[in-house]
Amino acid sequence: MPPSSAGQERPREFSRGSFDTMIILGAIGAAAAILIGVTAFILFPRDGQSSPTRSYTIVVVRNPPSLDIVWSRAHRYLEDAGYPDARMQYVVTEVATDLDSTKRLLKPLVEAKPDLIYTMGILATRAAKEVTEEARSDIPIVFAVASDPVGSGLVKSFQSSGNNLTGITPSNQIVASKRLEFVKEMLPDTKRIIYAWNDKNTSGIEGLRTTAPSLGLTLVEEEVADVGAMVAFLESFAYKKGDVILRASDAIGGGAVNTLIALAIEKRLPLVGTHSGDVARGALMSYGADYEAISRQSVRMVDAILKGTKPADIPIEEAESFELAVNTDTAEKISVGIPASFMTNVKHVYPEE
Amino acid sequence: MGNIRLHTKFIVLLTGAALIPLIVVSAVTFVRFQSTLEADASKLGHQIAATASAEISSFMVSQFTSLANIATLYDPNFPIRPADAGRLLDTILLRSDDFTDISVVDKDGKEIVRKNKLLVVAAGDLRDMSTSQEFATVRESGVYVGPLYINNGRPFFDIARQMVGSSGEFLGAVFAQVDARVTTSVVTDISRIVDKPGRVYIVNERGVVIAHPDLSYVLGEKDLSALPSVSSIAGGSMQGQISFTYANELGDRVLGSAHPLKIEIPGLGSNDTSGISWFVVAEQPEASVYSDARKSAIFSLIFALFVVLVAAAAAVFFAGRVARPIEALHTAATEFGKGNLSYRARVESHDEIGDLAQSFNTTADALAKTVASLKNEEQVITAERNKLSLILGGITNAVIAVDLDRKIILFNKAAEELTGRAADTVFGKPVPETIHVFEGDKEINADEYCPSGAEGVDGPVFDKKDLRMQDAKGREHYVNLVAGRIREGKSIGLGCILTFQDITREYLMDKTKREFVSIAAHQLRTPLTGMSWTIEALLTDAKGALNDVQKQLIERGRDTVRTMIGLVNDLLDVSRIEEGKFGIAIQRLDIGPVLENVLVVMRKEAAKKGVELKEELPSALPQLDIDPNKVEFVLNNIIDNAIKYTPKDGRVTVRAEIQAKEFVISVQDTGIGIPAAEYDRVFTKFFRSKKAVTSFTDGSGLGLYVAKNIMDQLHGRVMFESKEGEGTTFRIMLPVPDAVSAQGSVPPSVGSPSASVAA
Repeated sequence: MPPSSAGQERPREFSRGSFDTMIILGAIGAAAAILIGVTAFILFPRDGQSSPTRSYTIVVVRNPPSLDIVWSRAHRYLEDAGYPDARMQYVVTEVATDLDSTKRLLKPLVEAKPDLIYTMGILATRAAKEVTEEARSDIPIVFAVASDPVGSGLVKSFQSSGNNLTGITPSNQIVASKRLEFVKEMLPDTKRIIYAWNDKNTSGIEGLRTTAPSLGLTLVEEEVADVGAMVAFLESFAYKKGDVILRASDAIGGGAVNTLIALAIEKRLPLVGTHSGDVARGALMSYGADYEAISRQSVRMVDAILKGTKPADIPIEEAESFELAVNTDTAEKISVGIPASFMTNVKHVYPEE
Repeated sequence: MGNIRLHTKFIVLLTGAALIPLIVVSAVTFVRFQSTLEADASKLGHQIAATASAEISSFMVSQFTSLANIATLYDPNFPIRPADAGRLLDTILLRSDDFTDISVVDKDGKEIVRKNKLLVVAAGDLRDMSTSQEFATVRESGVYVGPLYINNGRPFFDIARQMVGSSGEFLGAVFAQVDARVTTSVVTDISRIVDKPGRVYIVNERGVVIAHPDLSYVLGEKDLSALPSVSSIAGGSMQGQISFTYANELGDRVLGSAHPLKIEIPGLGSNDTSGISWFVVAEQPEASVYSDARKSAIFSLIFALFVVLVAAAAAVFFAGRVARPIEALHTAATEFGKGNLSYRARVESHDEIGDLAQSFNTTADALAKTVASLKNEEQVITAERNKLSLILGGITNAVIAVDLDRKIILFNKAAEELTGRAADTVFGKPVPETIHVFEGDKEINADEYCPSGAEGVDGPVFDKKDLRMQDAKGREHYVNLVAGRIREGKSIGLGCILTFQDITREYLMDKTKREFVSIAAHQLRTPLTGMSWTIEALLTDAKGALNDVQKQLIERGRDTVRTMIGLVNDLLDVSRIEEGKFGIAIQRLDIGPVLENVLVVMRKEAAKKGVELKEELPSALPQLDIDPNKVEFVLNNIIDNAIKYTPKDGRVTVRAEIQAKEFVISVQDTGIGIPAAEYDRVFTKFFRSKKAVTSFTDGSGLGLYVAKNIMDQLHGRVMFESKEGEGTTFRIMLPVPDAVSAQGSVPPSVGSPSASVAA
């Protein structure tokens, strides 16, 4: 169509035509886009959950010094699990000398309604449980280390706590007896086990009382009220050759661990700890739960709870693994020899190279 | 957008033609792609199950290998001390991440040795397993894999392997408690191995979780038998393997399938001797399964939009090619419709549309010429019409033309003034709705002045004077109406033309004049009567005798008064006639005595004047429907005039005869005659011939007017014939009633003069 002949009159017609065209095209395009978009949306829902973006407040109740390793590892694992410090507010506190003081300490922190309370040790856990109970609060509590949680009345059963608690147990009340077997194996000349304890459940005292005689050992036990009493008893005890000090796995034993290690080395006595952390500090030998594993286990629980799972729906777990540790430095210091056959069973040998 | 343009329709059609197949193909592809993805997902489920089976089998194999090693330690033929064996067992236990308890039983089922990771096992703690199911199984099958159980927050299952001697005899078995958390890491790892989001877990035949990435499921012994994939294996049937789409216990939409877990332990006879029936359940998020489909959908969307754009561009191009010539034609037709006859369709395509445009333009040329000539004719017609309109407007009479239906088709200016209606408002309306004409009190029907028949009638079909009509404002007009026919040729009637002459002004003046005359006459009569009486009294000598001179003078006065009284009476009669109060009482009477009464007086008058009065009357005179007084008046006037205008010694002849149902009385004189020029005015008021006026001063000029009116009212006629200087003959004709004429008593004519009276 030659434009010269029609050029005078066409422009208006043409522009109106192309305007119509644009409307039509727009309508068709939009209709097609909507149709396809809706179809795609209906047929293919979005995948992937959005990663948590809100921030959380966690109250951490330490039980220094023996359990500090649990929190320091857990803290790292939390970061790895997608909870960077930028979004986390950790209110770190530690247990006082007794339950009531610890509860007073925790009360204002609980009233601030944190998202979770992370406890280490039976004292911290019990205090947190009682404070939340009294405040009628359901703030979740994850206990990283609490031996015999059912026997101590923290939870109803392993399968379900039935309350706002869940956590991991190192089963010290069971393993305490096993330690005697390893002592006998490592130091066949051992005659007496010196044991100052405070908590009937978590110290495993009952198991020790039956196991010691079966292994040909004499159990010298002393129930103590606090760290001072424990230290004083062990300080003033009249030791003989063949004596081995067993560190109590209860809260008092944990609190006194550093003093006990120093005391044992000073008196050149073998000290048996509850986990490899004690050995790292200078105890001769330990057998117990792998606290690093416990940290991992606890972080898994924290993650599940922060994502909405109820503590009662997370069964109590036993520590994943148990390990034997020996400090060769200490052995040298206190002049004891360790059989080579024993050493093949040892998982951790301190000091680490 | 009520009227969608052709151009637009083309674009929609062409774009749709491109888009619809695309959408259909895309939809089909989507559906196929989706089923392919589902098949892939199902395949992946199998793959995962196979991987899980392999992983767990491999794990089991390694565990059983460990058990085999332990068995070697306790082979009676193996040269090792029991204490060393115990120490080695300790090492195996402590070094193993999986074993928590190991025990060796002899062929009788008694434990020889047992090691536990957490417990101190004293000699007294050794068990007798001879009666246990586990021992029976391992003795018969060679291996034993126990169910999962939870203890102190840890999942366990037991496995066992028999010890056989070199000759194949049963020596006992090695039992181990395995920490089942290893299976958790296995299923966690599988997800990682297949590198797809989702989860893999293992359930037992009751649907209870025994391995799961989330340990809580295992420790909580979670029952997932409600999920379709899990329930498909419920009851231990080996079905399953079908993919199900469902929302799992977390509410996530997943595609799940369950597959039996096969543990193959080489070198231990039957593969299925363990007796366990575990199932691997693989769940993949629906969204992830279909993520490829979504990607493809997005690609399709983009592609579709691109295709739409391309199709639309093509559509615009083609629609332009096809629709534009048609639109050009449409535009040309529209311009034509607006009257732009010089517009031409500019289409230069060499196809049917081009031909169409060509013929359109040709037609347009012809039409333009025709319209131009029509316009010319129209101008001529308009000029004619304007001329006619000017003429009609100039006519002072109201002219109204009506068609055959008596609808108004012409209404001139004078008609507007007369009726008080604008021409625009009356055109096309029937004339009876517009005009009401009255004669006296009676309305004249339109049939009268514009009859529907009578095509053949020449001249006016209606002609009446002094009619009354009202205009739109209620004012009365007096009009003369003449109606004629409009004809095409001789016989085709086209309607009527009504011509109204507005005589209101003249009518009113006339009326005023009449009233004046009437009043004046009444006022004059009284004094005249008084004068007449006085004069009569003097002449009767009652007031003393008069001398001759006095008497002569008074007699002359008496005559003058009498003339005046006659004149006044005539005037009164005229007034009465014109006011319609001239009462006439018709009765059937013999005309004879009436005639005689007149002749008695006239004989005297004739004698007095010296004129011969000749009477030629038939012997028998008929009865007629007359008012005797009025007839007397007429005869008196006519005979008196004849005598009066006939010179002395002249003759007046009165005749009576019946002619064609009329009784005719003729009065013939030998008088002065009436000039031809005055014939028309003979019966008008105050008519007096010039000759009469000069010769005879007497006479009011009203007698003949009154006589004519009386004759009209008696349904008779009066006429005359005259020759100036020779005489005049007046004839009075009265209708003879049918009954009278039927008697035949009156001879048709009377020829013989019966009497001749000479004064």
